[in-house]
Formats: sequence, structure tokens, C-alpha cells
Amino acid sequence: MNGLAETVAHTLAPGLLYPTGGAILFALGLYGLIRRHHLVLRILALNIMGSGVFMVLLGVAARGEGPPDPVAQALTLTGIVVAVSATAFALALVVHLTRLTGHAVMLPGPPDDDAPVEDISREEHHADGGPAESSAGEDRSA
Amino acid sequence: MNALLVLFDLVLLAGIVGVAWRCLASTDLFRAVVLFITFGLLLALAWVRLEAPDIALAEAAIGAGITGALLLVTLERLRSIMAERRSGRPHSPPPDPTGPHALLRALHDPLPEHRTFLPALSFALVVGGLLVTALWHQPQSVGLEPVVDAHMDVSGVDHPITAVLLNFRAYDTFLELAIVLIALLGAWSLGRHDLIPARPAPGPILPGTLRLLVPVAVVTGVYVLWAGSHAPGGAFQAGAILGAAGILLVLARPRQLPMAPAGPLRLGISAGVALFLLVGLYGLAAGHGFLGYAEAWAYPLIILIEVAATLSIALTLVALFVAGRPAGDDT
Amino acid sequence: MIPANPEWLPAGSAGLVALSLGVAVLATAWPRQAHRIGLLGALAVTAWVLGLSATFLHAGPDPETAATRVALGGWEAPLGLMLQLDGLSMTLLVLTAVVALATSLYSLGYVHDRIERRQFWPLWLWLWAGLNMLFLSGDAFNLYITLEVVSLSAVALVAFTGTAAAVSGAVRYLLVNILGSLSFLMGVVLLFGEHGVLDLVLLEARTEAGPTERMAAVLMTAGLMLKAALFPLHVWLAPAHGSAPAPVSAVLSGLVVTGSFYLILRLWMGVFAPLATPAFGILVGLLGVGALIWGSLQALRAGRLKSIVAYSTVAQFGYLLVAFPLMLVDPGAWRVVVFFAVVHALAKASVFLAAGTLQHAAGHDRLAELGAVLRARPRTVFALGLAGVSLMGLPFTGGFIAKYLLLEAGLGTVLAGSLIGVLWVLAIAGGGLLAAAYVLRMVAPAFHRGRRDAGEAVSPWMDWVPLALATVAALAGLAGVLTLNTLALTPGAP
Repeated sequence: MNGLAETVAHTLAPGLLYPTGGAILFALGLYGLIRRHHLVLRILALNIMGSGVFMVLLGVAARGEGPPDPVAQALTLTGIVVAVSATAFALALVVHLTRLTGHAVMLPGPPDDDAPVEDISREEHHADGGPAESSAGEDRSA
Repeated sequence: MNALLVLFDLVLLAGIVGVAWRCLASTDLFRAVVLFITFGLLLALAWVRLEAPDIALAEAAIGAGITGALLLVTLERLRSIMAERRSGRPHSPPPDPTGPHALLRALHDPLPEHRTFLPALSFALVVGGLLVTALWHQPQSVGLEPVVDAHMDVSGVDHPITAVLLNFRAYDTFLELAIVLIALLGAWSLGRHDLIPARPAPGPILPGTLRLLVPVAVVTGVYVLWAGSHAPGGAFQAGAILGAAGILLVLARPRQLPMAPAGPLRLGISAGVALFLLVGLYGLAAGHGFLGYAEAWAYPLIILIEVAATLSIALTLVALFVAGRPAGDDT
Repeated sequence: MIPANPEWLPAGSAGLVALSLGVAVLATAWPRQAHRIGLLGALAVTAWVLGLSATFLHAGPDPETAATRVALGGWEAPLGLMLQLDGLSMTLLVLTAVVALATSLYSLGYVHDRIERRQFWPLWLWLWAGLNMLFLSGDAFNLYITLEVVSLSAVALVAFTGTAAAVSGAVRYLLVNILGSLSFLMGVVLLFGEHGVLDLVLLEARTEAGPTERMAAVLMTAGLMLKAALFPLHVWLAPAHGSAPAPVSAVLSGLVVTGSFYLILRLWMGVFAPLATPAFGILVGLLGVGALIWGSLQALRAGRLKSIVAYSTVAQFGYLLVAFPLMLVDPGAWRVVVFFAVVHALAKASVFLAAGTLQHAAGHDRLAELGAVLRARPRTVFALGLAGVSLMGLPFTGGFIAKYLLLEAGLGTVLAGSLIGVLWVLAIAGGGLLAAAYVLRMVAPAFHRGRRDAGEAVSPWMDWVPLALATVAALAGLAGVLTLNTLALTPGAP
């Protein structure tokens, strides 16, 4: 009986509970990433996976008897900043893609790799003067 | 063991997982984003419970705040792009061949077909199960807390996390600043920024609130930066708070954004890494190792780096929100 | 000649990091001069790397003692971060310098619009700095950060042309990269939770074959395989590499993919060494055979020049996987594998650069319509062929020696009584034949009769750099012994 109580107490300690929660979030994000096709939702799924990783890290850091591990907390802080940077860039790409193609959905399966490619090294030959050059810039921002 | 605390843990975790689930299962993107912001705030609560107030502050400011703002403005942009396409303006590209629901598809995502349900579920279950198994077999390792504790007196600051971030593992922090910068360079390389659709006549409430909120945010940011050397806080949280104030200003602007001067803007976003690198080089030349400090100089140098980093982060976050490079960068 | 002093190595490694970062920061802050800063920086970094390698070879560490380790900020592990320089990282730093210098020179001709130049150079210099830091890093979490520096700048460069194909390739590449990074990071977190340290050397001393190590190995290897586009996780590679600007494709296929492979090798030789069992080796080897066949078939049916080259990267990396079971039988074989990866990176980068020149001249890269340009540009076709020959592994090229050594290692496993060794030998030999088939597809139109049309004029850089790099790839065989000797200076490795 005592053994059972100890096992329950051990399982419910934050040092085990939160890493377990983190693992669940990681798996949940992975599931969402596979299932959902809209790029914004896929980015959210990746962010949830990332939060799962941070929860495992902070949970593990709080496992000992003493104060939590400051290195683990510093790493998490770094991870959060990296995540927001990657998210911001990904969202900028999604907006740009929508502007070009009219949709923000990435369907599974290999894309059409025989689609035409523009060659930036050629632009000078079309736009050799001031006005033409600025119009090339406009095109990409319009 | 405190039964009430355990109950709190269980309810909080169930809430976090539940919100994440609802977020990933929603067909309406706006709803998903709002749920994601809620998720971030709940996480901040969990970090407080795990005795990580620094991370809670960062999660609320960056994870929920800045990320949420970026997500919402993205939805706004997608909506306006789709509306423009639908109205068939002369300069817009040809309409999407994928069907008449293009506008719908920009902000809604139909639930996926059942074909992927079982494979995805079993894959996620296997990964999660293996992770939990590995975690449950781990010993109660003490981590690096004793090592950090033993070196606190020579770190130059009193807050262990700041000591790790800006002294013991300063290289990681330097690269973290670089990553924020690279994300902005990437967003800038996609083209010039287009303005967020202007909100006509914001009314008296928004400017009034802002007049109140922005100074408070600035004071909070400076305080959080200063507190970082001895208490929870530091450059990243302060940068995020100042960045949020900047984003508010951008959102509530009465008319066009003023044209940002390209040179100073470039200098501003790279000031953090540049100063950090110079201090690092000085350390290398003076024999303390790359990114090292003399013990007596550690405190002032750390504060100097943190101030520059805060300004660069705040500026970079606002620039990421505006997206696209300013026109002045091309002249 | 000043005698080389081993004391220089730590400062030299930290200095390399500082120099490559400094160039990137300077170009970011002063974009108008970014191409000049970039060119001077490329020369300076290359010179620094060559000087460092000369010092390393003359006064390098005794293979029996520890690698050169640099405590950043003066903090030793486990508290601080350590840089680590050994034969393996030195070899890859030199490879990076050679390919990156060639790419920089090529880019002078390729990216000439002044506005695009300002966007291109800072990102490219960050990517190069990220690669240098990746090869020097000795800390598990720092590896994650350097991987992020590399992937974010690489994705930005893929999206650089701003076309629909490029941006959709970039989005796919970015999502795959974030997933790979998170998987890697979860592995790092597991290892940290079990052992409480992040330094690779300290971790290596503590790991055993437990559940944590197994799961961490799966997560980190899968994450890196996603990033390296190793079969069967290769889906993003062709669209991203095929639609990127030519110098970017060259660096992605030549260096970024090699960087992920380097990390897999480094981890399995160190931290995860206790987990490497024959069954694992056979599984990885079978994946390699699959990649070899699938990639080659795709390369044989792709319609665009750059797609062919991108798919051939999938196939060529199949070789690297096939080498895993060989390494388990003959532990010393890893040096041959690295040598193969080096030759592949050189040859693949020159093929992509040559393809970029042809694409520029013709205005497209549809193979069926490239004949006239191919016939009128013998120099570029020669570069394409010479690098292709190295990829095929014809005699007297670097590729031949690499494949010969791989075959020898494969035959060794057969002689050691392993039946499945026959499969590895067949795969290595058959892969060379398939490579010959798709390389011939690329250059064959040049030898048909027909119209000649040089197309658009190209800058001298774009004309000569591919040829120079292809020559380096072909002559790499001469440096084979030197490379293997450098690699032998990797302490702790078999």
C-alpha cells in the first residue's frame, strides 16, 4: 500500500508530470503538422511542438531537490527567441507565397519540379537603366 | 506532497493540452490564432509553477504577445490579398485555378480527409509514447545548478540566468541575436514592405489609450532590462516589451509610416551583434578568450551589451511586424 | 618560414569564428558595400582556414591525445561552451572554404543587380559563418543554434529570387528544417535530462545504451536526416535546390547537406557509439540503397538540368548511407566516407555552378531545348563533364578513388563472411553506372549536330569558376592521402 502511494507521489511530482505534458504537446504538434494543410496552421503546430520541448526541458530542470537548473532556463529563453524569429520569417514567406499564387496551402506529395524558374542573373539585361531597375524592385514589393 | 498543488498541475496541464488540441483542430484560422495566444499565456503560468519567472515573462511577452501580433497581422494581410484578388484589380495575378473558394481558403482550412487520420495518429502516439518512456526512466540528475552556483561570484551579475546567458554561454546568446537578425534579413529579401491595411478613423479611444500605454511599456521595458542583473528580467524580455510598444505605435498610426532612414535603421538592427562581437574580440585580444571578460569589467560590459541588444531586438521585432524592407533601403 | 606552433590552434579556431562573424555583421550593417566586404571577407576567411590547416598538419594534436578545445570566455565545460577542432572538422572547414570561395567569386558575376546584391551578400556571409561555427562546435545545444543559423539563412537564400516556385520551395524547406531542428533539440533535451551536461566530450564519456540514448539517437538522427534530405526524408530537396539561384543551389547541395551528414557521423562516432549494432547498420544501408535507386531514377526522368542535379544529390547521399554498415565492420572506413563526401561536395557544387551558367545563357534550363547553348559553350560543358566524371567515379578522378576505397571496404565485408556485403558492393558499383547515365544525359546534347547559339553573354566569373572548381574536384584524388592523414588526426575515432 505504501509502495503504491509512493509510486503515485513519484508520478505526480512536477519533475515527471511536466515532462510528460511536454511529450504529449510534442506528439500533438506532430499530429497537427501531418494532418493540417494550411501553412499558418502548420506553423502553429510547429510552435506547439517547440513549446513541448521547452516544457520537457523546464520540467527536467525542476526535477532535483534544490533550486531549478539556471542553464536549462537560459536554454529555454534562447529557444523561445529562436522560435519567434523562425515563425516571423515563416509568416513573411507565407504572405509572399499567397501574394504570388493565391493560396497558402501546402498539399502533400512531390511538387511540380518542371515549373519555370526565373533567373535573377538575367535581370540586368532587361533593365539596364534607372527607371527599369526600379520597376523590377516595385514588382517584387507590389 | 501538497494535494492542492498536484490538482493545480493536473488542471493546468489538461487546460494547456486541451487548448492546443482545439487550436490545431479548428477550421477557422482566426479562432486558431486566438487559441494559440491563450495557449501561450497558459504556458507562462506553467513556467511560473516550474519556478522559471524569467521564462514566464519571456513567454508572455514573446511567445504569446509578439508571436500573437505577428500571426494576427498575417491573417489581416492574407485577407486583404485575397480580397484584392477577388475584386480582380488590373495588376493582380490571375485568379487561383484551385476553385471558387479561394477567399475561403485563405483564412479557413477544411478538416483533412480521413485517409491520413490513422497513420498520423499512430505515428504521433508512437513518438509520444517512446518519449514518455525515456523520460520516466531518467534519474534525478542535478544538472548544472551547483556548477553555476559555484561560479556566481565571478560572473559579474547576481542573477544566475543572466550569468549563464551573458557570461558562461555568451556565444549561444550572441548567435541567438544573430538569428533574430537573419530572420529580418530574410523577410527583407522578399521585397519592400506593404503597409498594413490602414484602419480608417481609429477614433479617440485608441490614441488616448496609446498615450497612456506606450510610456508605461517603455518604463516597464527599461525596468525589466535593469532588473535583469539581479532578478528575473533581461535584454530579451525588455526588447520584447519595447518591441510591443513599437508595434502598438505602428498599428495606431494616423497615416502612412514615416520613411525610415535606411542607414540608421541598418545600424540599429545590427548594433546588438556588432557591440557583442567587439566586446568578444576585445576579450580574445586581452587573453580572456573570445567573448570573455576580465572579472572586474564583467558587470559594465554585460550591461552595455544588454542595452544594445535590447534596442536591436525591439527594433528588429517592429521591423519583422512591418515585414518587407523600407523603401529607403534600396536607394 | 615560421615554424608552426600548436599553441596557435585555439586562438586560430576562435579567430576563425570571430572573423567569419565579423564579415557577416559588417555586411549586414553596411549593405551598400556588402559585395566588396564579402569578396575581401571571403579571401580573408579562406586564407585564415588554409593557414589554420597548415598549422594543424604541422603541429596538430597527437591522435592519441585530446582534440584542440577552446573554452569560450575562458569557461571550461560543463559550465561553458567549448569549440572543438580535430581532423574531421579541419577537413570540412577546408572544403567549406574552397566551395564558398568559388561560390563567392561566381556570385560576383551572377548577382549583379545592386539592390539584389545588398540582400544577397549579408545572408550568404551569415550562411558561411554558420557552417564554420557548425564544424567547430563541441556543445550539443550550441549545435542546435548553429544549425538554425545555417537553415534560416539558407532558406532566405532559396526564396531570394522571389518567384512562386522559389518561395514555395523555401516554405517547404523552412518547415522541414524547423521540424528537423525541433526533433534534434528534443534529443538534446533528453540527453541533458539524463546526464546533466551538454558538452559532447563529457556526454560521450557518460552515455550507454539506455532508453534515453536510444530515443535521443532516433530523434537527432531523424532530424538531421530531414535537414540533409537523406532518403526517405528527401521530399523537399529537389524543389528547394532546383528553384534556388545557382550559387545557392551549389552551397546547399555541396555544403549544407554535407553539414548535416557531418553531424550524424560525429554523433554516431561519439555520443551514440554504444548504440551502433549490425542490425542498425543494415537498416541504414538498405535506406541508402533505396536512396541510390530512387534518386537516380528521378534524375534520369527529370526534365530540367537543375532538377537532375538536385535528384543526383539524393542518390549520391545514398552512398553515404550504404557506408554505415561498412563502417561497423571496418571502423576505419569512416575516413573513406568523409573523403567521398568531400569529393561529392566539390563536384556537385561545380555541376550546379555550370548549370547556372547554362541557364543564364539560355534563359531556362529545360534539357530538351538546351542543345544549341551546350554546343556553343564548350568551356562550361567541359566543366559539367569533368565534375560529372568525378561524380560517376571514372579512373584518375577524386570520385574514382573515393568509390574505389568504398568498394574495397565493401569487398572487405564480403570476405569477412557477410552475405549482405554483396548487396553493398552491387549498390556501390551499380550506383556509379546510374550516375554515368544521368551525367551523360546532361552533356550528350553538346555532341549532337545542330544549331549553335551562345545565348546571353555571361560574366567571366560565371564562365571560369565552374571549370576551376571542377578541376579541383577532379584533382582531389591527388589530395586523397593528405585528406585521409588529416582525418586520422581525429582523437577518439577508430
